[in-house]
Amino acid sequence: MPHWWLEARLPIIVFGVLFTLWVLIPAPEGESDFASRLRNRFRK
Amino acid sequence: MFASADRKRLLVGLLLLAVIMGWFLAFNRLPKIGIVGEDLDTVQSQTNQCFQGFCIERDPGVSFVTRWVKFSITYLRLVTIGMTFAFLTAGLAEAFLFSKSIGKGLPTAGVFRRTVQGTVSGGVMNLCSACIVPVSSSFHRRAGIEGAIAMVQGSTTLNIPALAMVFFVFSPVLGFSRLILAVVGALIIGPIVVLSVRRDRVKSIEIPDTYRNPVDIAGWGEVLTPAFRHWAKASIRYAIKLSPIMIVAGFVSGLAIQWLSPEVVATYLGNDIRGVLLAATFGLLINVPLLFEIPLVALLLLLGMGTAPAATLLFSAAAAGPVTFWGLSNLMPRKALATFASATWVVGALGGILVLIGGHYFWEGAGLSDRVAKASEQRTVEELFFASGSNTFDIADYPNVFDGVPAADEFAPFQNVAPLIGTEALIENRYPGVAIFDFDRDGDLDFYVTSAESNSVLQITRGGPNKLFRNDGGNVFTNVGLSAGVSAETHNSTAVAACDIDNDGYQDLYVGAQGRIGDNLDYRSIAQNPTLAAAVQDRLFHNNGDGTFTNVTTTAFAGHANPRSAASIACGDVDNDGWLDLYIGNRADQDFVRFDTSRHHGHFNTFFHNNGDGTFTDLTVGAGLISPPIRMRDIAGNPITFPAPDNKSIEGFDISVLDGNGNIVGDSAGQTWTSMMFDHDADGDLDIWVGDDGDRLKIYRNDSSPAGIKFTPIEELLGIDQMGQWMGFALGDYDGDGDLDVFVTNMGFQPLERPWPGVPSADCAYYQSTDSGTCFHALIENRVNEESEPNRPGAFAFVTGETHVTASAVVPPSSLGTDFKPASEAAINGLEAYEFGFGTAFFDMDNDADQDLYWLGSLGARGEGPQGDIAPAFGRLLQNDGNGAFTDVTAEARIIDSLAVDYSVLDPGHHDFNAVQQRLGSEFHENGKGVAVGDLNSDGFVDVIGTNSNGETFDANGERVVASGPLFVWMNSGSDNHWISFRLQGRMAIDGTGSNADAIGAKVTVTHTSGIGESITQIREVLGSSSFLSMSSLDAHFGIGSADSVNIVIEWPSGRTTTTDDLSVNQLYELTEPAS
Repeated sequence: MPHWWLEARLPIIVFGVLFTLWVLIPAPEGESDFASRLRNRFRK
Repeated sequence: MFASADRKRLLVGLLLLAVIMGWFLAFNRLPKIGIVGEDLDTVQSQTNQCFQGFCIERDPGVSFVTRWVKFSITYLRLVTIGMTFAFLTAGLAEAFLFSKSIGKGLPTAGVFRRTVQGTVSGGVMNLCSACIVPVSSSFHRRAGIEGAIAMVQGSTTLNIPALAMVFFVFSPVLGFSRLILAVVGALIIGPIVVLSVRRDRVKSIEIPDTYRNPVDIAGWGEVLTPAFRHWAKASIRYAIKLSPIMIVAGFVSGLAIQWLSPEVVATYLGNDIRGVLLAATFGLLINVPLLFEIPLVALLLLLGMGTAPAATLLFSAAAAGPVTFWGLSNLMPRKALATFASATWVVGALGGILVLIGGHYFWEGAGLSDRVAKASEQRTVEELFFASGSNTFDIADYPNVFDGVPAADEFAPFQNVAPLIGTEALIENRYPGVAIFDFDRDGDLDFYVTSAESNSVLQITRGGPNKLFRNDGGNVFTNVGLSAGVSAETHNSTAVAACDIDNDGYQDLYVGAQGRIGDNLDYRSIAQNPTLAAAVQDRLFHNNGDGTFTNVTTTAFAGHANPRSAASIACGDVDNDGWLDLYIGNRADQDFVRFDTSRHHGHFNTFFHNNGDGTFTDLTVGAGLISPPIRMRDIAGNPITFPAPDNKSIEGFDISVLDGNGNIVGDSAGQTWTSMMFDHDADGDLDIWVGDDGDRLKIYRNDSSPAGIKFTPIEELLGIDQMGQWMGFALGDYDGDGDLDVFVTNMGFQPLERPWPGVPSADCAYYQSTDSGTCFHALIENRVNEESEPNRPGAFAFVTGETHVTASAVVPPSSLGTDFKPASEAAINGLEAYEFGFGTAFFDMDNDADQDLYWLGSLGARGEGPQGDIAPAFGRLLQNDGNGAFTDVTAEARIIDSLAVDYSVLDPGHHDFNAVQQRLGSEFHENGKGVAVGDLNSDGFVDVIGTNSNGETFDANGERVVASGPLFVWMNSGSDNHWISFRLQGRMAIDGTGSNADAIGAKVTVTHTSGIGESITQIREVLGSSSFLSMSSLDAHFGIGSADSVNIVIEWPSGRTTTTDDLSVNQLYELTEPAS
């Protein structure tokens, strides 16, 4: 396993979880951002 | 309490922050302290100064770009986790903590209060100057520019781990300067920046409408769900916005740090204004991982950076850098940013200037803490050993050596080549002996070194295999002890002698041994345990002639090998039957040696007669060689005796002293350290001289006849039954009068520095106080030939005090200093002014046709170890002036028995001379023991091997550790003088007639003409005896100045003679005894 992978794991996991949360949780009414548009596309 | 949405978010936010920070501190920040500790060890090691991707030494095989990219990527990797935490925390702060309407949660009034909030918050964060950027950007929403800047300062310069380490690593001056600058920086830089701009020009951050009316939001889920979404979005936004900036700025920082090099430090970062200003500038051009500035500044201090620029850099390197400025540019206008950078620079520079001024008036050289400074100087024995190769002088400074062109009367220094052998030259033995001999008869000299047993009781005395170093030429010596069968790992080996016991032409090995230290058992108890006895009985290894040896101890001694404590072995044919006999000088079991009591128990010495058939017979008693009781007298001169069986009493020996098994300790004998067989009265047979540690010299005249072997003690007759702590013998014609004189090492002048002992004992200081003995070395002049009767009073005379020695200007003995305070009425003259000695030898160092004198030795421990100051001594090489006076050339000859001595400056008047830094003082001595001399590289100049005890020293933390004893193999670089050498072979090796194969006892007389036409006669006797644990080469070597030919006469032990005239010089002659 490359040495850099050990250090990259944590940021990847953290930001992966954050991105998932951002997409999964609906945006407040009236707001639209990248994650809400992505969510809507998947729901279609 | 948590009715409002803001309070709900605040609560959850604080909980989440606590969890995240707790995890971050526990798994990332605290381990970082260990990493920094390792970095400090690295920079102190002086062998590898690369840490966290940064190497200050330029590797010529690595390009600048590679070095720059490597450091930059390493830096970015190191800050990855910190940055992740920072983005996460920044988003958390924005989403949960810093809502605009929180009200009492986070007060926002006042510049000072916001500054303090930022400082405290930052101090808790423990993030580097790059990682803190996202968090401070978020904090700016609540606490403004001043709070954001204070958070940066608080996190980078005021965090607790950093402050703790700073005070541990650096001196109080630098510790307090960092603390003060950090506090000042945190409290004033932010307000200064705010003052420089109007508040309405500060960028504000939009707060989502969702949070503006918290009273309308009721449930936890309704509050927290969007908050989590906001957290995720904000964190990702920070990462996207700031990461590219940070990566680019990281490479800019990596570029800046490449400016650092040892040359730059020495040239530009001295303790002056320029150094301070450059340090302030440099510090702001780099971003470093958290705490990185600590090992960085420590390294630069070790390379010579001044204290003042160190104070500046310790602050400015941590405080901010390109990533910080670039990352915060989103929050403030350029003017504010410039003010921020300038103010940080000024604070750092002012701090350095104040330290500079203070250093001028109040403190000196306050860089690293004493603990770290000492640790940085602290090298292991192994590191010191490998720094001890002294082949760094320029041979061009010693012209005309070996090229045949005569030069002024000078010599080139010795070169220690032991480091070339490697770690095999590190020995595990308290009593390491060495014997120089040609074990494989390939024409060059090899050597054998003894080690203690591997099964010793105490770890400090644990040994390993004995080593046989085969000479492979070109200063290459290979340990072949194991394959040769002489490694004897479980043998507690001490003294060694190499002599041809069976006259087959190959020298065999007699290896002495001593009892285990720490088992409280003496030899009688040991003899009852076969396993233990095997470890501590002497061994005889027969040389098979094919590179291997066979242990023939059992057959040779019929189960009666010497079980006592062999410290010296003398080989010699006492009855001239052609077979070498053995005299074993035994000391005492180390567990029972004391010099504060009148009980002084030694071991009987042993005389083994060679039967000529591979066996030996113990004839100690019959030959009259049983050791007499020691001399133990009270102040009035009355014997101090103890009861013995049969209503007798014995002087100095108490049979009620028992060992752990209830057996009597020792024998009523002295503790022999050294023994020597030579024909002192020139009557054709070998006499025996014995030196004991704490008794009189003993001289046994050989009165053997065809009726039997017989020796008569005559030390009193000769008038040299002087009490002393005699250690080693050297034999040589120091005064050039054609007979062999004797030098005996002793304690030296050092016991005279303490009060005279009041208790009668074997302490030489007690004898000296009662005028019954001496602590001084003994130079004993041979005057046998001055009258017809050789064995008479005055045939030998102590001339120590009247022998002039020109002291070294570089390393004079302390007895010649103004601080020396001898015990009352103790006078010191001439050669008496010198320190402790063990092994010793006469040899012609510079081939100028006279005998120079060398000894080494120390008592107790190495100088830098526990009790190393008992008798500090690093040996002495005294150059003979040709008239029996000497000059101390120890330093000039580079033969000091200390590791890593810097001989580059040997002029005490030179401004670069520093005896301590150059390790020239006696406080750095190794614990010297054996000495053997011989021409190892066959260049016609005699080389020297010195052994040292293993033992305790102190590690970097001041803890005691056991370290090996280093060998010194000093190769003589020689001079322009000529030489001639003889390797003799007795006829017993040829046809079983005549003299022993080694020709031990043969006398070689060389006559030649000096440069001014004087006739010079030199004499050597082939000596098969050990000086102290050790035995020199049997070759008879002569330095003959500028003579081009010599006449020789060899008197063989058998009585035959060889006479040859006009022998060519600069050659080794192998001569065989004539048939008749």
